[in-house]
Amino acid sequence: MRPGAHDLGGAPGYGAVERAAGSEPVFSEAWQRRVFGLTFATLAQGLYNTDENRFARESMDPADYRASSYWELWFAALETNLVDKRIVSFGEIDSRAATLQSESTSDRPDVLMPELFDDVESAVRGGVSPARDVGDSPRYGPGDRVRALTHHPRGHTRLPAYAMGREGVVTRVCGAYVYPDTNAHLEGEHPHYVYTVRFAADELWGSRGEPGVVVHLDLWEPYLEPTAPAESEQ
Amino acid sequence: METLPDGAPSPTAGRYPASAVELDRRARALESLLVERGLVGTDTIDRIVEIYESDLGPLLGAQVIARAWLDPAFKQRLLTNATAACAELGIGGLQGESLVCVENTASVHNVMVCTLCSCYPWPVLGIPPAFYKSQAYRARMVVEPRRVLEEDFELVVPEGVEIRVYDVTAEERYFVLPQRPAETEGMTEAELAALVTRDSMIGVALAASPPRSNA
Repeated sequence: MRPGAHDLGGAPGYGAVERAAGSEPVFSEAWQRRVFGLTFATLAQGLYNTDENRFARESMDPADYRASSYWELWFAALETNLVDKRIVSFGEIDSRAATLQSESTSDRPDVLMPELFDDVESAVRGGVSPARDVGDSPRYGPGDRVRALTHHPRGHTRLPAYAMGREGVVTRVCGAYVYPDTNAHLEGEHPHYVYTVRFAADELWGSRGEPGVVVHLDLWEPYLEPTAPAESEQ
Repeated sequence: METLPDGAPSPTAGRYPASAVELDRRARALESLLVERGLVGTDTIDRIVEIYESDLGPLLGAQVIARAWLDPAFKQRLLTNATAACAELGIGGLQGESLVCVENTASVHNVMVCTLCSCYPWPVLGIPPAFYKSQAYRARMVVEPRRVLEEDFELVVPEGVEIRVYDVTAEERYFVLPQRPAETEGMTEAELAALVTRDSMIGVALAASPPRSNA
Protein backbone atom coordinates (compact mmCIF):
# COMPACT_ATOMS: atom_id res chain seq x y z
CA MET A 1 0.00 0.00 0.00
CA ARG A 2 1.03 3.62 -0.39
CA PRO A 3 0.49 6.40 2.09
CA GLY A 4 -1.69 9.26 0.99
CA ALA A 5 -4.93 9.89 2.85
CA HIS A 6 -3.17 12.34 5.13
CA ASP A 7 -2.20 14.69 2.29
CA LEU A 8 -5.39 16.71 2.42
CA GLY A 9 -4.54 20.15 1.01
CA GLY A 10 -7.15 20.95 -1.64
CA ALA A 11 -8.88 17.55 -1.37
CA PRO A 12 -12.41 17.94 -2.74
CA GLY A 13 -15.58 16.80 -1.06
CA TYR A 14 -15.23 18.36 2.38
CA GLY A 15 -17.98 20.57 3.76
CA ALA A 16 -18.25 23.09 6.55
CA VAL A 17 -15.55 23.25 9.19
CA GLU A 18 -17.24 22.38 12.46
CA ARG A 19 -16.39 24.43 15.50
CA ALA A 20 -16.97 23.55 19.12
CA ALA A 21 -19.40 25.82 20.89
CA GLY A 22 -17.55 27.50 23.72
CA SER A 23 -14.44 26.08 25.30
CA GLU A 24 -13.45 22.53 24.56
CA PRO A 25 -11.41 20.15 26.72
CA VAL A 26 -7.92 19.15 25.57
CA PHE A 27 -8.92 15.51 26.05
CA SER A 28 -12.50 14.34 26.30
CA GLU A 29 -11.88 10.70 27.24
CA ALA A 30 -9.44 8.81 29.44
CA TRP A 31 -8.05 6.74 26.57
CA GLN A 32 -6.99 9.92 24.77
CA ARG A 33 -4.94 10.98 27.82
CA ARG A 34 -3.28 7.57 27.93
CA VAL A 35 -2.47 7.61 24.21
CA PHE A 36 -1.00 11.11 24.45
CA GLY A 37 1.07 10.26 27.53
CA LEU A 38 2.29 6.93 26.14
CA THR A 39 3.25 8.48 22.81
CA PHE A 40 5.12 11.23 24.55
CA ALA A 41 6.92 8.90 26.94
CA THR A 42 7.98 6.42 24.26
CA LEU A 43 9.12 9.19 21.88
CA ALA A 44 11.06 10.89 24.69
CA GLN A 45 13.03 7.69 25.28
CA GLY A 46 13.99 7.55 21.62
CA LEU A 47 12.20 4.26 20.97
CA TYR A 48 11.30 5.82 17.60
CA ASN A 49 11.50 9.32 16.16
CA THR A 50 8.94 11.97 15.26
CA ASP A 51 9.25 11.37 11.54
CA GLU A 52 8.63 7.65 12.05
CA ASN A 53 5.65 8.60 14.15
CA ARG A 54 4.22 10.73 11.33
CA PHE A 55 4.87 8.00 8.79
CA ALA A 56 3.15 5.45 11.02
CA ARG A 57 0.01 7.60 10.95
CA GLU A 58 0.27 7.87 7.18
CA SER A 59 0.55 4.07 6.94
CA MET A 60 -3.06 3.66 8.00
CA ASP A 61 -5.43 2.28 5.44
CA PRO A 62 -6.71 5.42 3.63
CA ALA A 63 -10.36 4.64 4.37
CA ASP A 64 -9.56 4.04 8.06
CA TYR A 65 -7.57 7.28 8.19
CA ARG A 66 -10.46 9.31 6.84
CA ALA A 67 -12.92 7.67 9.22
CA SER A 68 -10.79 8.04 12.35
CA SER A 69 -10.65 10.81 14.90
CA TYR A 70 -7.47 12.77 15.61
CA TRP A 71 -6.59 10.81 18.74
CA GLU A 72 -7.33 7.52 16.95
CA LEU A 73 -4.66 8.51 14.43
CA TRP A 74 -2.27 8.97 17.35
CA PHE A 75 -3.27 5.62 18.82
CA ALA A 76 -2.76 3.86 15.47
CA ALA A 77 0.72 5.37 15.14
CA LEU A 78 1.61 4.42 18.72
CA GLU A 79 0.60 0.80 18.18
CA THR A 80 2.27 0.66 14.77
CA ASN A 81 5.60 1.92 16.11
CA LEU A 82 5.66 -0.27 19.21
CA VAL A 83 4.77 -3.33 17.14
CA ASP A 84 7.33 -2.38 14.48
CA LYS A 85 10.02 -2.13 17.17
CA ARG A 86 8.89 -5.51 18.59
CA ILE A 87 8.13 -3.99 21.97
CA VAL A 88 4.59 -5.38 21.94
CA SER A 89 2.44 -7.29 19.47
CA PHE A 90 -1.14 -6.61 18.43
CA GLY A 91 -1.96 -10.06 19.86
CA GLU A 92 -0.63 -9.11 23.28
CA ILE A 93 -2.54 -5.84 23.31
CA ASP A 94 -5.76 -7.52 22.30
CA SER A 95 -5.47 -10.44 24.73
CA ARG A 96 -4.71 -8.08 27.58
CA ALA A 97 -7.61 -5.86 26.55
CA ALA A 98 -9.95 -8.85 26.58
CA THR A 99 -9.17 -9.46 30.26
CA LEU A 100 -10.13 -5.91 31.26
CA GLN A 101 -13.54 -4.78 32.41
CA SER A 102 -15.30 -2.41 30.09
CA GLU A 103 -15.07 0.28 32.75
CA SER A 104 -11.99 0.91 34.81
CA THR A 105 -13.16 -0.16 38.28
CA SER A 106 -10.15 0.53 40.45
CA ASP A 107 -7.30 2.97 40.39
CA ARG A 108 -4.26 1.58 38.70
CA PRO A 109 -1.26 1.05 40.97
CA ASP A 110 1.32 3.82 40.89
CA VAL A 111 4.57 2.90 39.21
CA LEU A 112 7.14 5.67 39.50
CA MET A 113 10.03 6.19 37.12
CA PRO A 114 11.73 9.38 38.32
CA GLU A 115 14.42 9.43 35.63
CA LEU A 116 11.96 9.16 32.77
CA PHE A 117 9.80 11.74 34.50
CA ASP A 118 12.73 14.17 34.47
CA ASP A 119 13.60 13.38 30.85
CA VAL A 120 10.06 14.10 29.78
CA GLU A 121 9.90 17.36 31.76
CA SER A 122 13.10 18.56 30.16
CA ALA A 123 11.87 17.59 26.67
CA VAL A 124 8.67 19.56 27.21
CA ARG A 125 10.43 22.61 28.64
CA GLY A 126 13.57 22.60 26.52
CA GLY A 127 12.25 21.11 23.30
CA VAL A 128 13.93 18.63 21.00
CA SER A 129 15.09 20.66 18.06
CA PRO A 130 15.41 19.12 14.59
CA ALA A 131 17.56 22.12 13.52
CA ARG A 132 21.09 21.17 12.49
CA ASP A 133 24.20 23.02 11.41
CA VAL A 134 25.20 22.21 7.86
CA GLY A 135 28.53 23.26 6.45
CA ASP A 136 27.46 24.73 3.13
CA SER A 137 25.48 27.89 2.50
CA PRO A 138 21.88 27.86 1.27
CA ARG A 139 21.41 27.28 -2.45
CA TYR A 140 18.49 29.71 -2.69
CA GLY A 141 17.81 33.13 -1.28
CA PRO A 142 14.83 35.48 -1.04
CA GLY A 143 13.51 36.40 -4.48
CA ASP A 144 14.70 33.23 -6.21
CA ARG A 145 12.10 31.49 -8.34
CA VAL A 146 11.80 27.78 -7.68
CA ARG A 147 9.60 24.88 -8.66
CA ALA A 148 8.53 22.08 -6.33
CA LEU A 149 9.47 18.74 -7.82
CA THR A 150 7.01 16.03 -8.67
CA HIS A 151 8.08 13.75 -5.88
CA HIS A 152 6.08 10.71 -4.85
CA PRO A 153 8.38 8.60 -2.67
CA ARG A 154 7.15 5.25 -1.43
CA GLY A 155 7.75 6.46 2.09
CA HIS A 156 7.43 9.63 4.09
CA THR A 157 7.66 13.15 2.68
CA ARG A 158 6.63 16.63 3.79
CA LEU A 159 6.05 17.93 0.28
CA PRO A 160 2.27 18.28 -0.13
CA ALA A 161 0.99 16.95 -3.46
CA TYR A 162 -0.80 20.20 -4.32
CA ALA A 163 2.55 22.05 -4.58
CA MET A 164 4.25 19.51 -6.85
CA GLY A 165 5.23 20.98 -10.20
CA ARG A 166 4.19 24.48 -9.06
CA GLU A 167 6.38 27.53 -9.23
CA GLY A 168 6.86 30.06 -6.46
CA VAL A 169 9.25 32.59 -4.98
CA VAL A 170 11.51 32.06 -1.99
CA THR A 171 10.66 34.56 0.74
CA ARG A 172 12.89 33.35 3.57
CA VAL A 173 15.63 30.87 4.43
CA CYS A 174 14.41 29.06 7.54
CA GLY A 175 17.57 27.23 8.54
CA ALA A 176 18.65 23.64 8.11
CA TYR A 177 16.61 20.76 9.49
CA VAL A 178 16.70 16.98 9.66
CA TYR A 179 15.33 15.60 6.38
CA PRO A 180 12.09 13.74 7.15
CA ASP A 181 12.18 11.66 3.97
CA THR A 182 15.22 9.74 5.20
CA ASN A 183 14.86 10.12 8.97
CA ALA A 184 11.42 8.47 8.95
CA HIS A 185 13.02 5.31 7.59
CA LEU A 186 16.18 5.37 9.71
CA GLU A 187 18.26 6.22 6.66
CA GLY A 188 20.01 9.08 8.43
CA GLU A 189 19.24 12.70 9.29
CA HIS A 190 20.76 14.25 6.12
CA PRO A 191 19.87 17.82 7.13
CA HIS A 192 19.08 20.34 4.40
CA TYR A 193 18.04 23.96 4.30
CA VAL A 194 14.33 24.69 4.41
CA TYR A 195 12.85 27.65 2.53
CA THR A 196 9.56 29.47 2.79
CA VAL A 197 8.15 29.56 -0.74
CA ARG A 198 5.28 31.82 -1.72
CA PHE A 199 2.81 30.38 -4.24
CA ALA A 200 0.04 32.39 -5.91
CA ALA A 201 -3.43 30.84 -5.60
CA ASP A 202 -3.96 30.64 -9.39
CA GLU A 203 -0.62 28.85 -9.81
CA LEU A 204 -1.77 26.19 -7.33
CA TRP A 205 -5.46 25.95 -8.07
CA GLY A 206 -6.15 27.52 -11.47
CA SER A 207 -9.60 29.03 -11.67
CA ARG A 208 -10.53 27.43 -8.33
CA GLY A 209 -8.10 29.80 -6.59
CA GLU A 210 -9.50 32.84 -4.81
CA PRO A 211 -8.37 36.39 -5.62
CA GLY A 212 -5.81 37.98 -3.34
CA VAL A 213 -4.66 34.71 -1.79
CA VAL A 214 -1.14 33.32 -1.49
CA VAL A 215 0.10 30.17 0.20
CA HIS A 216 3.40 30.10 2.06
CA LEU A 217 4.92 26.66 2.40
CA ASP A 218 8.20 25.64 4.04
CA LEU A 219 10.05 23.19 1.79
CA TRP A 220 13.29 21.26 2.12
CA GLU A 221 15.92 22.01 -0.52
CA PRO A 222 15.71 18.58 -2.23
CA TYR A 223 12.03 19.27 -2.95
CA LEU A 224 12.97 22.26 -5.12
CA GLU A 225 14.60 23.06 -8.43
CA PRO A 226 15.49 26.50 -9.77
CA THR A 227 13.31 27.86 -12.58
CA ALA A 228 15.72 30.71 -13.28
CA PRO A 229 19.41 30.86 -12.41
CA ALA A 230 19.85 31.59 -8.73
CA GLU A 231 21.21 35.10 -8.16
CA SER A 232 24.49 33.74 -6.86
CA GLU A 233 25.00 31.87 -10.15
CA GLN A 234 24.23 34.81 -12.44
CA MET B 1 10.02 2.06 10.15
CA GLU B 2 10.46 0.74 6.66
CA THR B 3 8.25 1.64 3.73
CA LEU B 4 5.46 -0.80 3.02
CA PRO B 5 5.49 -2.95 -0.10
CA ASP B 6 2.76 -2.34 -2.68
CA GLY B 7 -0.28 -4.44 -1.90
CA ALA B 8 0.69 -5.01 1.73
CA PRO B 9 -2.13 -4.30 4.15
CA SER B 10 -1.74 -1.44 6.60
CA PRO B 11 -0.32 -2.62 9.94
CA THR B 12 -3.46 -1.39 11.69
CA ALA B 13 -6.00 -2.62 9.12
CA GLY B 14 -9.31 -3.42 10.82
CA ARG B 15 -8.41 -1.73 14.13
CA TYR B 16 -9.65 1.82 13.42
CA PRO B 17 -12.00 3.48 13.81
CA ALA B 18 -13.12 1.71 16.99
CA SER B 19 -15.73 2.22 19.70
CA ALA B 20 -14.87 4.31 22.74
CA VAL B 21 -15.19 1.21 24.94
CA GLU B 22 -12.76 -0.74 22.78
CA LEU B 23 -10.30 2.16 22.60
CA ASP B 24 -10.42 2.56 26.36
CA ARG B 25 -9.71 -1.14 26.96
CA ARG B 26 -6.93 -1.19 24.42
CA ALA B 27 -5.29 1.93 25.86
CA ARG B 28 -5.35 0.48 29.38
CA ALA B 29 -3.97 -2.81 28.03
CA LEU B 30 -1.11 -1.08 26.23
CA GLU B 31 -0.33 1.04 29.26
CA SER B 32 -0.18 -1.99 31.57
CA LEU B 33 2.10 -3.88 29.15
CA LEU B 34 4.51 -0.94 28.87
CA VAL B 35 4.51 -0.37 32.64
CA GLU B 36 5.27 -4.07 33.23
CA ARG B 37 8.17 -3.86 30.82
CA GLY B 38 9.60 -0.92 32.70
CA LEU B 39 9.20 1.43 29.74
CA VAL B 40 6.88 3.98 31.31
CA GLY B 41 5.80 5.00 34.79
CA THR B 42 2.26 6.00 35.60
CA ASP B 43 3.70 9.20 37.09
CA THR B 44 5.17 10.14 33.72
CA ILE B 45 1.92 9.66 31.86
CA ASP B 46 -0.04 11.65 34.44
CA ARG B 47 2.49 14.48 34.41
CA ILE B 48 2.53 14.78 30.62
CA VAL B 49 -1.24 14.99 30.55
CA GLU B 50 -1.29 17.51 33.39
CA ILE B 51 1.18 19.80 31.60
CA TYR B 52 -0.88 19.92 28.43
CA GLU B 53 -4.25 20.10 30.20
CA SER B 54 -3.30 22.75 32.74
CA ASP B 55 0.06 24.45 32.22
CA LEU B 56 0.15 25.21 28.50
CA GLY B 57 -2.45 26.97 26.42
CA PRO B 58 -3.34 30.13 24.52
CA LEU B 59 -3.08 32.32 27.63
CA LEU B 60 0.68 32.14 27.13
CA GLY B 61 0.46 33.30 23.52
CA ALA B 62 -1.90 36.08 24.59
CA GLN B 63 0.77 37.43 26.97
CA VAL B 64 3.25 37.55 24.08
CA ILE B 65 0.84 39.43 21.84
CA ALA B 66 -0.19 41.92 24.51
CA ARG B 67 3.48 42.65 25.23
CA ALA B 68 4.10 43.21 21.51
CA TRP B 69 1.19 45.66 21.31
CA LEU B 70 2.62 47.69 24.17
CA ASP B 71 6.33 47.48 23.53
CA PRO B 72 7.53 48.28 19.99
CA ALA B 73 11.05 47.02 20.69
CA PHE B 74 9.67 43.69 21.91
CA LYS B 75 7.42 43.50 18.86
CA GLN B 76 10.43 44.00 16.61
CA ARG B 77 12.30 41.19 18.38
CA LEU B 78 9.22 38.97 18.16
CA LEU B 79 8.90 39.45 14.41
CA THR B 80 12.65 38.95 13.90
CA ASN B 81 13.17 35.94 16.18
CA ALA B 82 10.03 34.72 17.89
CA THR B 83 11.82 31.84 19.63
CA ALA B 84 14.13 34.25 21.47
CA ALA B 85 11.40 36.80 22.16
CA CYS B 86 9.09 34.16 23.66
CA ALA B 87 11.99 32.83 25.74
CA GLU B 88 12.24 36.29 27.34
CA LEU B 89 8.81 35.54 28.82
CA GLY B 90 9.76 31.99 29.76
CA ILE B 91 7.76 30.53 26.88
CA GLY B 92 9.18 27.78 24.72
CA GLY B 93 9.81 24.06 24.47
CA LEU B 94 8.58 21.07 22.57
CA GLN B 95 6.96 21.91 19.22
CA GLY B 96 8.13 25.49 19.66
CA GLU B 97 11.86 25.04 19.11
CA SER B 98 11.70 27.34 16.07
CA LEU B 99 8.87 29.83 16.41
CA VAL B 100 7.82 32.39 13.81
CA CYS B 101 5.33 35.18 14.47
CA VAL B 102 3.66 36.77 11.44
CA GLU B 103 1.99 40.16 11.68
CA ASN B 104 -1.48 41.04 10.45
CA THR B 105 -1.61 44.53 8.95
CA ALA B 106 -4.08 46.71 7.07
CA SER B 107 -3.02 44.93 3.87
CA VAL B 108 -2.19 41.33 4.96
CA HIS B 109 -4.22 38.78 6.90
CA ASN B 110 -2.31 35.65 7.93
CA VAL B 111 -3.91 32.32 8.77
CA MET B 112 -2.33 28.96 9.49
CA VAL B 113 -3.12 25.35 8.76
CA CYS B 114 -1.17 22.09 8.53
CA THR B 115 -2.46 20.11 5.58
CA LEU B 116 -0.38 17.00 6.35
CA CYS B 117 -1.15 16.54 10.05
CA SER B 118 -1.87 19.25 12.63
CA CYS B 119 1.45 20.98 13.38
CA TYR B 120 0.91 23.77 15.89
CA PRO B 121 3.06 25.88 18.28
CA TRP B 122 2.31 23.95 21.49
CA PRO B 123 4.27 26.12 23.97
CA VAL B 124 2.45 29.24 22.77
CA LEU B 125 -1.06 27.94 22.07
CA GLY B 126 -1.30 24.48 23.68
CA ILE B 127 -2.87 21.50 21.92
CA PRO B 128 -4.80 22.52 18.80
CA PRO B 129 -8.59 22.86 18.87
CA ALA B 130 -10.81 20.31 17.14
CA PHE B 131 -11.50 22.50 14.10
CA TYR B 132 -7.77 22.90 13.41
CA LYS B 133 -7.32 19.12 13.48
CA SER B 134 -10.40 18.49 11.34
CA GLN B 135 -9.96 17.09 7.86
CA ALA B 136 -12.31 19.72 6.41
CA TYR B 137 -10.11 22.57 7.69
CA ARG B 138 -6.94 20.87 6.48
CA ALA B 139 -8.45 20.23 3.04
CA ARG B 140 -10.11 23.59 2.47
CA MET B 141 -8.03 26.32 4.11
CA VAL B 142 -5.29 26.29 1.47
CA VAL B 143 -7.68 26.46 -1.47
CA GLU B 144 -10.61 28.62 -0.36
CA PRO B 145 -9.57 30.56 2.73
CA ARG B 146 -11.85 33.53 2.00
CA ARG B 147 -14.87 31.30 1.84
CA VAL B 148 -13.92 29.23 4.88
CA LEU B 149 -13.21 32.33 6.98
CA GLU B 150 -16.45 33.95 5.91
CA GLU B 151 -18.81 30.97 6.06
CA ASP B 152 -17.37 28.97 8.92
CA PHE B 153 -15.69 31.64 11.06
CA GLU B 154 -17.83 34.72 10.28
CA LEU B 155 -14.69 36.65 9.36
CA VAL B 156 -14.91 38.74 6.21
CA VAL B 157 -11.47 39.74 4.99
CA PRO B 158 -11.86 42.84 2.77
CA GLU B 159 -11.16 42.31 -0.93
CA GLY B 160 -8.04 44.47 -1.00
CA VAL B 161 -6.43 42.58 1.88
CA GLU B 162 -4.13 39.72 0.89
CA ILE B 163 -4.84 36.44 2.65
CA ARG B 164 -1.56 34.69 3.36
CA VAL B 165 -2.11 31.06 4.25
CA TYR B 166 0.79 29.47 6.08
CA ASP B 167 0.72 25.72 5.48
CA VAL B 168 3.01 24.80 8.35
CA THR B 169 4.16 21.34 7.36
CA ALA B 170 7.89 21.67 8.13
CA GLU B 171 9.67 22.40 11.41
CA GLU B 172 8.98 26.07 12.07
CA ARG B 173 5.88 26.73 14.13
CA TYR B 174 3.91 29.86 13.29
CA PHE B 175 1.44 32.04 15.12
CA VAL B 176 -0.24 35.28 14.18
CA LEU B 177 0.22 38.72 15.69
CA PRO B 178 -3.31 40.09 15.28
CA GLN B 179 -3.95 43.80 14.84
CA ARG B 180 -4.52 45.69 18.05
CA PRO B 181 -8.22 46.52 18.34
CA ALA B 182 -9.39 50.13 18.30
CA GLU B 183 -10.20 51.96 21.52
CA THR B 184 -7.65 50.08 23.60
CA GLU B 185 -5.43 53.05 24.42
CA GLY B 186 -4.37 53.08 28.04
CA MET B 187 -5.26 49.44 28.66
CA THR B 188 -2.86 47.37 30.74
CA GLU B 189 -1.01 44.34 29.44
CA ALA B 190 -3.37 42.01 31.31
CA GLU B 191 -6.44 43.81 29.93
CA LEU B 192 -5.04 43.59 26.42
CA ALA B 193 -4.13 39.91 26.83
CA ALA B 194 -7.78 39.17 27.62
CA LEU B 195 -8.66 40.35 24.09
CA VAL B 196 -6.21 37.97 22.43
CA THR B 197 -8.11 34.80 21.65
CA ARG B 198 -6.67 31.50 20.52
CA ASP B 199 -8.48 31.90 17.20
CA SER B 200 -6.95 35.34 16.61
CA MET B 201 -3.47 33.80 16.91
CA ILE B 202 -4.41 31.07 14.40
CA GLY B 203 -5.79 33.73 12.09
CA VAL B 204 -9.43 32.62 11.93
CA ALA B 205 -10.59 35.61 13.99
CA LEU B 206 -9.59 39.14 14.88
CA ALA B 207 -8.63 40.07 18.42
CA ALA B 208 -11.73 40.81 20.49
CA SER B 209 -13.02 44.34 20.98
CA PRO B 210 -12.72 45.82 24.44
CA PRO B 211 -15.80 45.60 26.65
CA ARG B 212 -17.93 48.73 26.39
CA SER B 213 -18.07 50.73 29.55
CA ASN B 214 -21.37 52.44 30.34
CA ALA B 215 -19.69 55.33 32.08
